[in-house]
Amino acid sequence: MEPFFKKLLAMDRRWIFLALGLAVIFPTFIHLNLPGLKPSPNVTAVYDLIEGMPEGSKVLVSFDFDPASKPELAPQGVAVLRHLFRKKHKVVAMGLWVTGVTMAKDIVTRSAKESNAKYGEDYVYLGWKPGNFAVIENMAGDIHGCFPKDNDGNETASLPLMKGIHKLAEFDLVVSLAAGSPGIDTWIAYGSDKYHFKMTGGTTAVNVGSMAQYVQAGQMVGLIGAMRGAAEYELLIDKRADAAAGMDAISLGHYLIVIFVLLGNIAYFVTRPRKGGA
Amino acid sequence: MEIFGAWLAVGLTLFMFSFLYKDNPFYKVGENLYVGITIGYFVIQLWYKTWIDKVWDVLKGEAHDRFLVLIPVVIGILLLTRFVPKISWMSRWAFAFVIGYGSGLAIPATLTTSVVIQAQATAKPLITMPDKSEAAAKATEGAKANAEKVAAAPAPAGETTEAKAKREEGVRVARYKYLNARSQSEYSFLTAYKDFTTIVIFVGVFSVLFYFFFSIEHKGPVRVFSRIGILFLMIYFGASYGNTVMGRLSLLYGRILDLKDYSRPMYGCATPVILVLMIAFLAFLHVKNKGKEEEHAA
Amino acid sequence: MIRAVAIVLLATTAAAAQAPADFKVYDKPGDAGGAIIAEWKGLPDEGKPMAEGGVEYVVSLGLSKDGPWTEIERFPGTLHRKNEAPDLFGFSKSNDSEHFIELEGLVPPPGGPWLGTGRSLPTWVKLEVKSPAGAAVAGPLMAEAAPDWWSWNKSNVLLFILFFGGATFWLISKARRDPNIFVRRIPGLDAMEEAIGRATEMGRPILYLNGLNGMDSISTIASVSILGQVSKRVAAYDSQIMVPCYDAVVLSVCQEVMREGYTAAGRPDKYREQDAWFITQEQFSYVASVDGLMIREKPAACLYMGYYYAESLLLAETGGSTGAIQIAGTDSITQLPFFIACCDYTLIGEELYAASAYLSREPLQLGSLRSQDAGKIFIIATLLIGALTAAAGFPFVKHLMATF
Repeated sequence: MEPFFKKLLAMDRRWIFLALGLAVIFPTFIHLNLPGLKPSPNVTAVYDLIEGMPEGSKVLVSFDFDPASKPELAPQGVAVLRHLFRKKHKVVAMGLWVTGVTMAKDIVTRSAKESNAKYGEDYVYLGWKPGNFAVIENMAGDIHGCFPKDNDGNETASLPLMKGIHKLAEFDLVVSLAAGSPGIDTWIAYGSDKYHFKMTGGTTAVNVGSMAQYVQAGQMVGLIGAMRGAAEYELLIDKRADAAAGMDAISLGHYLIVIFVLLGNIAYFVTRPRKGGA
Repeated sequence: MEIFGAWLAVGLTLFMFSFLYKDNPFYKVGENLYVGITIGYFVIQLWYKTWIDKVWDVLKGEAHDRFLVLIPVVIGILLLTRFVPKISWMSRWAFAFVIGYGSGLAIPATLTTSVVIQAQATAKPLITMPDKSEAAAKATEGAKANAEKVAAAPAPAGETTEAKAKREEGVRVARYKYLNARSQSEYSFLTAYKDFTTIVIFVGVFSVLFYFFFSIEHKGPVRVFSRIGILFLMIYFGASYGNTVMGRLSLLYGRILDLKDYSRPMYGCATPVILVLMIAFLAFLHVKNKGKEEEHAA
Repeated sequence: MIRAVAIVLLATTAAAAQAPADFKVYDKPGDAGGAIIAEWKGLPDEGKPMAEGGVEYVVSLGLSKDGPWTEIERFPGTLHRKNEAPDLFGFSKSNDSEHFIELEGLVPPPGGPWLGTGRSLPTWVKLEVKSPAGAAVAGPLMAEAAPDWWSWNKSNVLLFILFFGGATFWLISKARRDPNIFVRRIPGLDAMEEAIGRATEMGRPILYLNGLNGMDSISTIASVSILGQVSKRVAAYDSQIMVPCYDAVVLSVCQEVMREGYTAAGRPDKYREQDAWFITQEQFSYVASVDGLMIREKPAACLYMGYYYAESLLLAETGGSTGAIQIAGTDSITQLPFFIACCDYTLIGEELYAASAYLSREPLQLGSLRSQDAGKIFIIATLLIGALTAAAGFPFVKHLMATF
């Protein structure tokens, strides 16, 4: 037994990489549809909030992530946008990360096309401006001054949707899908805590722990966490997509990691030098 | 163009993944490209979204206060004097403005959001007293009636499995809302659970704050309390570790999905072709380096 | 009998037609202008539906006492209670039965918007009370909107900043007068001494990393400060240290700090500028290079102090595989779990700053550390008192901490 575990501990780590890679690749070819996906209270809170708003509510969606976090946050964005367009809410999209501008536009445009939303009337994409928290402060006072033109160069004041919106506080809800900072914490510190609009959002798995404090303190309503949160949201809006499909791969990967951790711990205890005499 | 984009995406993805095997020229190309492209993209965005939109177009416009925009432009230029030793002292004024403005904006906001509101949310009664008012009793009755109504509603004919799951979810949600309303007006298991959570958070906040207290020696009761803090910290770090692993796996899945997508003939089978070429090149390098090592050894 | 009925009818009619008491109109306090407030005391039975004797309030505005009047809002007696706006009226129990309405969009005085923003022309406000039995009028009263210099809503945050800032300045000046301020010993620091001793005995070098942030990062400043003390010990023990740097500015600071350390130990001749060198400012290239260094040089101790990103586990794992004793210190919350799993000792978050203050005994660092402890005591006391008073039914601490 001991020689086996010694060999295990000395194993080239690249075999572990390969095993993990296969565990994630396998479900992309064979759909396992593993059971057990149920909406959590935090995700349900976001869904209920959007579902409960009167038709035509004005919602700002901020895509605060770059392509590195796309697998986790893009499905969240797509699911939330589908819900917003289905409820005929008016969507104003933007981003605080420069590297995510084009990607965010792609997500918004595809979701809008799917829902037959009209640009300028049902949704607008403002794009990005530098300054992080300064952008939020600027928008709080005068959105048209902060974004005189949208991402395509149209005068913001000329867009029908933007005619009725001048300040951040006029939005019925702000949704921040964030991979870090600037993100949810920035929107809360410089936005919702100061100008009192409703706030919700989604974040990556790494940041869920840090953002949970805002949910607990009531500074935001619910939180969509990681790809799992996106899968739960897809379940709630009855449209399984990328995230729900990805849960099989994530689950298999997790099972494998748990097995490795257990094996590693057993190997550690079996192979460590014993105290005292033979 | 789309095929070119697919090949580029696959190529760069596989270049970066090749680091898992070992450091190699493909990885170096990918990393340098990433750094360069990010900087170039940022410069272009800055030019069009900041300089053109916020300075050039404003100056060309007709607003009577348009020249005010030159003040922040001058401050920004002063920052650049840092690179000219003789006049670098001017950059201190600009830095002072930036730091002063930044601190003035950031300190109250961060203090409010991360300290005051969090403390306010934590400073609540550890044991919830039931609300015996008429309004609370009415709300409980209403929630109970709704839960019973939803549970008693018959299943419609020809109900699909998905619709059944949704209906059952609705029954569960209505029952939860009733239990929640009931927990406001009488002390129930749910109230006890919420109180337990409050107490755990309370103890956690206190003990972790004690752990990071450096002005007194950690002896006696303080040591015990700070050890509890360490326990909370380790639980958090364990959860954070697990969350990070989940996040990384999600990113891996996202990349693999794209690689699978771009292996289709419509994208010129980008994934398998590039993979095979890379493996062949790395094998060639390996054999070549092995030959060199044997030569040196000899 | 008829007289009694008539008296009752008269009384009922008089009560329903009663104008609300204490009708006031004034400029909204603590704002940038552009709004006025009208407030009044509620009437008995106003919460009932209209048919059962409830009331409806109608608020109208005009630019003169005699009108013309523009109706602004019409609402039942259950709405616009003062308890909905604690930022304006606080948390008094009487707010449950008193009403207010905020009136915006007032007519500004002539003369352009960019100076005198927030001012309005004198505006008259009339309040009508309608009920099934009759109607009554309160006012009209006049007010002008104007911007204010001070916002009372944020006074609690200001007080906290003044307290904390004041404590910081006072404690820094106290540390300047008496640098022997007590800072508790951090376990990782003992391990650092042991690591340096071990490296000397084994004749192998110490590897010291400053993290991946620049000199503007607090953790890098703390790391460089610790490097100064480590260099002093290394010089005293005649050991060897390697400091591969990610940032060029950090490199020059490290070289200066190391030179000072060696000089302070009385061994300036032993200092070698090439002990600290710049590798690259690319994350994984830096990591690959440091990993290669670890495998080749096999340091006896690896010290990771500063801010790290995804490369933390790569560094710690490679260091562990060489058998080195590893001590990490970072305030990067996401990387702490990896360092804790792989390293022998980890300085968690603020412990890194405390270690720097402990070793350097700089008044600025000591004073700041002490003031942070003062802040923690304040928060602990607030939480305790807040929880106890809230449980006793007096949530005044919670109200004091309310932010708007």
